[in-house]
Amino acid sequence: MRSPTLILGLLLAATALGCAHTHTAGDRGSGTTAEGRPESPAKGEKGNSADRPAHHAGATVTPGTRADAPPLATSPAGLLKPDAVEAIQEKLASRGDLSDKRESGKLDPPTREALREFQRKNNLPATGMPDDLTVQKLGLEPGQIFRATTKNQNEATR
Amino acid sequence: MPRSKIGKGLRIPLVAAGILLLLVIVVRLILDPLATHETRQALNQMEGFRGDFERVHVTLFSPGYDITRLKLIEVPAGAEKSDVADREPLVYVEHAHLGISWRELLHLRVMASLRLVEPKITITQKKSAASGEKKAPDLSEQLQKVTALKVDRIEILGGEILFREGSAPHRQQLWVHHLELAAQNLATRPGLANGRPATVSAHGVVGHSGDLDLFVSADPFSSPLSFAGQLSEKGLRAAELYEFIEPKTHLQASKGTIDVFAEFVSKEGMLTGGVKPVLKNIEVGPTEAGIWDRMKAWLADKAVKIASDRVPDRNAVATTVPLKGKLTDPDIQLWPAVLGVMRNAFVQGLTSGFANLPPPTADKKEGALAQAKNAIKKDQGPPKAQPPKS
Repeated sequence: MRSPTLILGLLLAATALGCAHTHTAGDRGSGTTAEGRPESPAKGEKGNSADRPAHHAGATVTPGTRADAPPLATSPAGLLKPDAVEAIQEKLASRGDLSDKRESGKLDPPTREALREFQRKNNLPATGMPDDLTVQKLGLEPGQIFRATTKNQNEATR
Repeated sequence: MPRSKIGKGLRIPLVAAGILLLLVIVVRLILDPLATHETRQALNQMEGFRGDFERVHVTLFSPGYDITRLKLIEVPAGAEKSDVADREPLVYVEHAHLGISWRELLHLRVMASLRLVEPKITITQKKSAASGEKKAPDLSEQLQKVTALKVDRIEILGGEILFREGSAPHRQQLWVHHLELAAQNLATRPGLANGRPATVSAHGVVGHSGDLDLFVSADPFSSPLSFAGQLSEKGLRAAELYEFIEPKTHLQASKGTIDVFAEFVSKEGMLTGGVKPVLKNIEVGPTEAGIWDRMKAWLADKAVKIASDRVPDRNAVATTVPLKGKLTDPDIQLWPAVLGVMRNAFVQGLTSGFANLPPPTADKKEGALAQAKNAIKKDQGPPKAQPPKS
């Protein structure tokens, strides 16, 4: 196991650099640093992942060069159309699975937990993430919720 | 109209309906035994495995195939299939259902779905001989060879996966259970995918305490395979990693939890991503009474305490490990990871989440000293990943 060696190495390096310890406040939960502020992005960087909370929308990946290449994303929220989360939250709230106060417009932990509960009740895999069958059972059309390549979206709206 | 003529007119459709009904009854009666026989034949022909099941059932209306208590047992080289009947199966599925969509069949398209209820899978890692230069996976080529088909959905409910390291003297294993998984849009032709990616979303429990979430989106028709996703594991008790830590170190983490967050994107064969381990309230102790082991444990424990951010109830040792480079040979950048531990401990604490994943990349390659200087500046953000080797 290398970790004790690694930690010891770090300790020596830190001592040599004479770093001052700055932490004083408690952990304020995910999305903030130990000092209760968001982790700082690097200088000169805008829209850096640092300002994304734990339930961030996830990076959307530019589709490949193929005309019908689908959109890719690192998180389920990244594949949703604008206002799709609100539509899902509205349906969950109308069924009593999500409190009205929790309609945040974000795929946040309460929404994920409500989705999981809904999926469990409907004998679907309780992943807490939206998929075609889950949104259909919620009374929504997958085409309204999920992004597709521009070509396919144009065809769908025709 | 005379009654005899009405009778004659009705007789033909009635006879036809009767024959059809009889045919349906006969097909219904022979279908299950036939499917059972064919399944047994297919399992008997599997090389290296012995297969068994309790029941097979085929449905005609809403076409489908059900199999109950399916077992696949690995047959070691040189052994007979009959010798391994009592061995623990590598794959056990309480119930599996394969369904075909009628509607799509009418449009001459095959759309299938698979549902696995309470599958238990054991994955044993075996050391394979090193081969030449690895090639990035190219699914698109393989998919073109398969019949046009869309597996609309694969579901796993209440699954269990046991990852085993086969060769270690103390068998190390990682257990993922209560696994719920949905994979969708797995088409064999781009036209069948409707411009949407294949996705896998899953939730499960690692060991007795770790909360696991996984999401992957992929374009299987890109060459090489393009995908993006994230994985998080929260709250795994460090004590559950005893089998991994103790044999090599004679130490154990008796207290504390481990969170791991990873985010990754692979496009055109190049991988970008990062892993953020966050160790909270870790306490290290010896497992043997020797003076050397006790000293080692004391040093490790002190080192953890110094490297932690010393925030009450958290005391986290954390960093981000950048992953960059070719998909087949990613560059795991340790120097930014080491600086990340320092920054977490002495400059600014890292959140337990996906923030700063993947870490930003430096515009041009920075020297170790420049990276170290930036790491201790509060306004610089976490250590940057270095551009990949060209």
